[in-house]
Amino acid sequence: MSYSETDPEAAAVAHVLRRATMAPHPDRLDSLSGLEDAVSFVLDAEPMLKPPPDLELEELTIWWMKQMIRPDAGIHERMTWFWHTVLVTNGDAGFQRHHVTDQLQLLRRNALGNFRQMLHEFTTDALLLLYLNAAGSVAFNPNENLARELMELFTMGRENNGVANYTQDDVAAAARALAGWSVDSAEDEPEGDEELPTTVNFNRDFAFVAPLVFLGEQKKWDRELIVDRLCDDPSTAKRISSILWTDLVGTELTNDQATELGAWWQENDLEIRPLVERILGSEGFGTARLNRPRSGLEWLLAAHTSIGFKEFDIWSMDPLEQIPFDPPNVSGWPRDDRWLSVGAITARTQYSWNLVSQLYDNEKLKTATTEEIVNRLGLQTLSDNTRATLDSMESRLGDMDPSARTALRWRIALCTPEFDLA
Amino acid sequence: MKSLKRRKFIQLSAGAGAALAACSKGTGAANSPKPSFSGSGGSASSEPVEVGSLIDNRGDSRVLVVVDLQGGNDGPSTVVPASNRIYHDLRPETAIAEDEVLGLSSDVGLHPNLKRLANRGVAYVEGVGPVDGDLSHFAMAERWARGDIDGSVGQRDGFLARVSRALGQADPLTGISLAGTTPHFFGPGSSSLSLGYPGDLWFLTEDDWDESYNFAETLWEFGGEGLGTRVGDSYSTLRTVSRSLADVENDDSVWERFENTGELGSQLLVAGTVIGADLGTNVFYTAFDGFDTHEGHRYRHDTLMEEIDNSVVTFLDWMDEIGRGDDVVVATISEFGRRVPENDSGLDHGSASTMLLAGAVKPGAYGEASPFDELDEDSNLVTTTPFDRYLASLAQEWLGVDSSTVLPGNPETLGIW
Repeated sequence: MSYSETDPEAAAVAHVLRRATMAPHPDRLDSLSGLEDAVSFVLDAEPMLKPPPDLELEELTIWWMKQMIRPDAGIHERMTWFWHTVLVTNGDAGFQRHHVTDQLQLLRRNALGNFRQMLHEFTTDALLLLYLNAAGSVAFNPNENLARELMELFTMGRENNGVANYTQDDVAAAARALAGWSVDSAEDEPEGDEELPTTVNFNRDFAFVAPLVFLGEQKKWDRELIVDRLCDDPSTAKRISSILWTDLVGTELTNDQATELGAWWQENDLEIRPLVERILGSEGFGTARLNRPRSGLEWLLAAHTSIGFKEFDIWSMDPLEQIPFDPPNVSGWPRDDRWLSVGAITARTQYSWNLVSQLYDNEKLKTATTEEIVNRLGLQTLSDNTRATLDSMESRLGDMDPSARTALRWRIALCTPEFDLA
Repeated sequence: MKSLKRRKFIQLSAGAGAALAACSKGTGAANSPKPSFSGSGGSASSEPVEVGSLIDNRGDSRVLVVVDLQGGNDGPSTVVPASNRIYHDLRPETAIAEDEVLGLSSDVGLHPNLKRLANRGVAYVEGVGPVDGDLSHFAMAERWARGDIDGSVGQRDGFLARVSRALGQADPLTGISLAGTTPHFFGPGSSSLSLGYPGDLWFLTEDDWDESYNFAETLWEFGGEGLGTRVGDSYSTLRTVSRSLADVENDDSVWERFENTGELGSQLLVAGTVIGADLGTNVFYTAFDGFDTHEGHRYRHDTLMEEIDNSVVTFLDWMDEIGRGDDVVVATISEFGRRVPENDSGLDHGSASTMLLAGAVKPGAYGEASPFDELDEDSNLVTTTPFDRYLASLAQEWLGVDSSTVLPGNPETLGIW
């Protein structure tokens, strides 16, 4: 096989691994054959659940990225990340190490479970309560931050097909209903460095206990009832399932299609695994290739995986603009072709250059041919322009020494337009 | 993790570092002529692109640097109504005392940490906000980005993308975001460019070394196909940028100026370098985060003001020295102001706020202040100057772009210039 030919079975495997895992692992590109085989592998992959305790934010982020590029990682890793891009938190909001670990564990535990259950856990999670100023919010003067984002970003969205889902009065009512929660340190903090874990508590004295009107219904609303009400709303199933569709398939659903998918998911009690299976099994999934950009993190992980370099440095990732637990804001990262703008491409070009510099003397990579590299990268589908450019590069190799040749091949392969797409 | 951002230089390998040291001493004596852009940039889609029109060519060499105070900057903590009793009554924890402020008029004074800016002279517009506002960061940031004054417009290119397109047609370097991807620049005819510092692209311009020369020359051949053509377009732009920046002498004194100016300063350093390189850029977008002061408002806001003062004045002084001071305006935006009554030590999301302008602008007040005795139903300052009028002034009065062609409706300008 060479980069001038396309093997359809290998191309299908690369497609599935680009979308349904975090990065196509070279071992899996070799061992799998065809769309069905690849989808089965992805769905059957075993989750590995627990992050180790007591890691600092940066260490935990790197631990997570290493899980994402395990050769046996499948849909569970993909969905853990997906939920972080929807149920967004910022690691800086925590004040003890376990806050971020607990949040990550929450996402990993529920990644393929039930959305309603996950949202109940999410809205009582210390990191979220701290991030959106809900910890310490009191009913007589409640903080509206969590109430607003819970509706706008984590569930229904602002509108459904042009019709507003809620008003500012609903935000104010939800803020009251969500008041009374706090993140508390242990009463008797021991001497020395050891910190006791904080607890999340509900204090009735600071809660609103009278009836409130929320989404047109008057009753004694509390956190649990608000979350259940939002999960019962058809807009929630429709919006969240549509975001997942676009993430996995790359296309936007029409309003009718989105309504249908949402209704189906609602009937299936917001169970996540069946939704994922339905989307990966749909007719559209297999053919929707290279039709959306790779996000910053997807690109980074694919680059590291293909070159076989498992170390990460948070500083050098910054220009790629997608560090877990460091979102630009609570709405998360872009999902559009801003990932292909000159800024993003500049950052990726620079990263490719530096990444290969780091592996310059790696014996294993010293002798790779362009074909081998392109296949390791999962680039089984290349445009005529890209093929011609790779040929042109080969003609430049001339009297460069072997290490320099391989370095150039790797750098250029990482910079092909196809490698920027998923 | 925030503190790790915008580092001076990523040094992943000793080899790269040594090579950098070698090339930073290379040629760089003369500025290149303004590069002509091949026109392959811009939109890859087949949809027709609306291009705004100009009222005259005053904007040719002018530059607008937008500083987005992200999170929602509180107006009364910026231009302080120090003698207003209601302000002090409603803000027992966070109000700034009358004897602390830097006097602007008998009613208001500048935040005490904006000393250098006060000395240079600053223009301000109070009560800038939406019609029929919203308290969500994202909704309001998007509305500002599109110039959507009342939330009725929906999906639309960013206002700054439209202004850039009117000035530069398809040249994506006319408008540059120095703060990554942003809805303000969303749309063809502009680009984001997040460089840690101007020398980051050395490896694309080192012509005497086979490894980098062959790498760069191969990159420029990539064209892409389908969505990939966007990548090919980005390489074309990158080629122009890297060559021009390489011609700017990497002067240590520039870096030293911006020492300790933080996240905003590092963006303004790149803006100044691009202005010096004469890439024809008319619009820069910079972002400065941290204004969402739900808790600990006073201390946090004081620190933010100090950083604005240091970085903006450092930048403007530098522009004066290279003879571009009369061409450059720095203008703040912010998605909203903050609630007037305190929430303990903090301030919740509000509505109208105060915008600052510095550089080539006549100091003083433009527009009316928002009255403290007529707060809206959420206890927020009401809008006295709709934000689209402020944006219209930046576009039309400063850059010569017909504001009716880049903003919905036909907002009146404020007469700032």
